[in-house]
Amino acid sequence: MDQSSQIVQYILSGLSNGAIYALIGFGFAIIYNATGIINFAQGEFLIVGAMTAVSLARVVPLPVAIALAVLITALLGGLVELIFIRRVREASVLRLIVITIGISIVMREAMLHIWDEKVRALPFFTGTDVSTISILGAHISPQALWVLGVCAVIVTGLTLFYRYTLMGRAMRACADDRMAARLCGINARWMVTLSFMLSAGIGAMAGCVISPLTQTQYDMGAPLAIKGFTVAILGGLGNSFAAVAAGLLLGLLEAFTVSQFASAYKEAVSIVVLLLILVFRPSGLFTRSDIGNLRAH
Amino acid sequence: MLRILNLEAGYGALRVLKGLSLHVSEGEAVALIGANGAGKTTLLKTVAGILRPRCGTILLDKQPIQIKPAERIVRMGCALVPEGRHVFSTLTVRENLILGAYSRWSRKNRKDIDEVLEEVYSLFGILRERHAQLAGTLSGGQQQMLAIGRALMSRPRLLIMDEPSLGVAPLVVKDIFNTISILKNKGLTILLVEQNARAALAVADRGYVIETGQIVLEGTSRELADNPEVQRAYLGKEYQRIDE
Ligand SMILES: Nc1ncnc2c1ncn2[C@@H]1O[C@H](COP(=O)(O)OP(=O)(O)OP(=O)(O)O)[C@@H](O)[C@H]1O
Ligand SMILES: [Mg+2]
Repeated sequence: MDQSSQIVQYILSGLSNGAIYALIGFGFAIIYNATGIINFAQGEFLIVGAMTAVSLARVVPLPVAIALAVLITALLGGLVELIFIRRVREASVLRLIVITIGISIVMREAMLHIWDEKVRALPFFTGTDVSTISILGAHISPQALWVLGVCAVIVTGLTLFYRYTLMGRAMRACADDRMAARLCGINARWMVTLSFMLSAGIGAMAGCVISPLTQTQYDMGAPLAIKGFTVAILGGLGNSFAAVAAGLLLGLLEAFTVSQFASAYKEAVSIVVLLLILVFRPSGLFTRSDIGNLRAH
Repeated sequence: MLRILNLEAGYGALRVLKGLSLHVSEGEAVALIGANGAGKTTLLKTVAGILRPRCGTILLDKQPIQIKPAERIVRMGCALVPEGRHVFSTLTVRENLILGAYSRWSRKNRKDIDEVLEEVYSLFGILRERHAQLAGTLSGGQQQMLAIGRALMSRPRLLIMDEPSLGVAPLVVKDIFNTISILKNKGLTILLVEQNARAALAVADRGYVIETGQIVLEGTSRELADNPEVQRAYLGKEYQRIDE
């Protein structure tokens, strides 16, 4: 492989990893916008989604299994909100964040009981683990294209949802001014529940689409959540589209690190970025600091 | 249309409303005046269902609503324009208005919602001009118009307004009060809270004076405007007759 196709190779793998980070960051942003809290159980939603799909795929066709897994995880997300978050709504943001950490631990333990510690994977959506597609001399798995495609569809779909549907607008209104939203007749509590469902559903879809590439184990949620959290912060919390851009950027950065140094450094990249951002630019890369406070809760 | 009996409400240990009673009849415009901290906003929030009262009764069309949440009360035809406007600043003007009709949204109301939107636009031309702009970029007066327009989108039978002149340029205050009297003449029932007592009494049929959570005075607008106590406390020395 020559130099240029090597670069294409890194870019493509960086983008497909980045697309997953973008989806996780997007999930963080949805819940952050609705509640002002960071949901540290976001990573677990990916794993629950993937594991559920793996189990279901034994009895139903793959697309059906994935659709059901997304649905089930979304319902689980809604349930988590109803049981653990709704009752303490007036509690401090910090307390709620700690609760989400608790939820992530409970979910991890529950998954260990249900699916043990074995590594599982969904089958490749198209082709097998050895099939590749060549693009500009680089060879990538068709699954990487699935990842990019799914990310693009979800981001586009949600953009349209938030922008043009009454429900999407109502969710934005709640994030903007909860009291005013209630005065319009919007049930703010259900909008929060809906945010958790959306976020969990997106997480599940992300979990399913990467499962063939990275495989899935009960405790893989936390490291993914750290990536997603980095991306959410990098994009400026609550800015879903900046989170997507930041996700792709982090993916590329990791690919670059792997190409220049050793792949052992890959995992350190997001931590370094996270620390740098928190120290130097806490409002995010893409936010002008003056609009950063526009939606202070 | 609205009847409040012995209402008590507050925040935590703080008692703000101490057994307050008042009523607003159908087609009437009623002004509620009082000093800072008297409990006006607390009263309106309680009526709108944002705040739960400790005790007392709020009847809307003879139905008790004191236990109903805000979302239900809009559906019953009572809309509040909150103090400080509270427009959705990150949404466009048009989106703000559309969400005002959220409580009535359905396929069969579609035409009607378009009609109210048209009415609001003709009431406040500037909102039509700026419909695609983010509400946060509007001036204070325009935001107030948007807040009123948004409340009207729910086609309320009772419109409650909390200090619509607050933070609005004097020239625009006049526009807003003109609009209020247009709405009143169309037959809308209005409950209006104002610091600007003169302007409020000029549009209202009747008024109440609230002090530390209780009604201390009530009467027709003329009676209140002629009352020496009211003149001294709320109308200021440069008071002139309202039908100047
Ligand atoms: N959210 C709150 N929490 C605690 N106390 C509050 C809250 N809102 C208002 N208060 C207190 O309740 C009392 C009444 O306030 P309220 O806002 O009802 O007065 P107001 O008559 O509307 O005054 P203004 O003319 O300034 O709007 C005040 O003493 C105020 O400090
Ligand atoms: Mg007030």
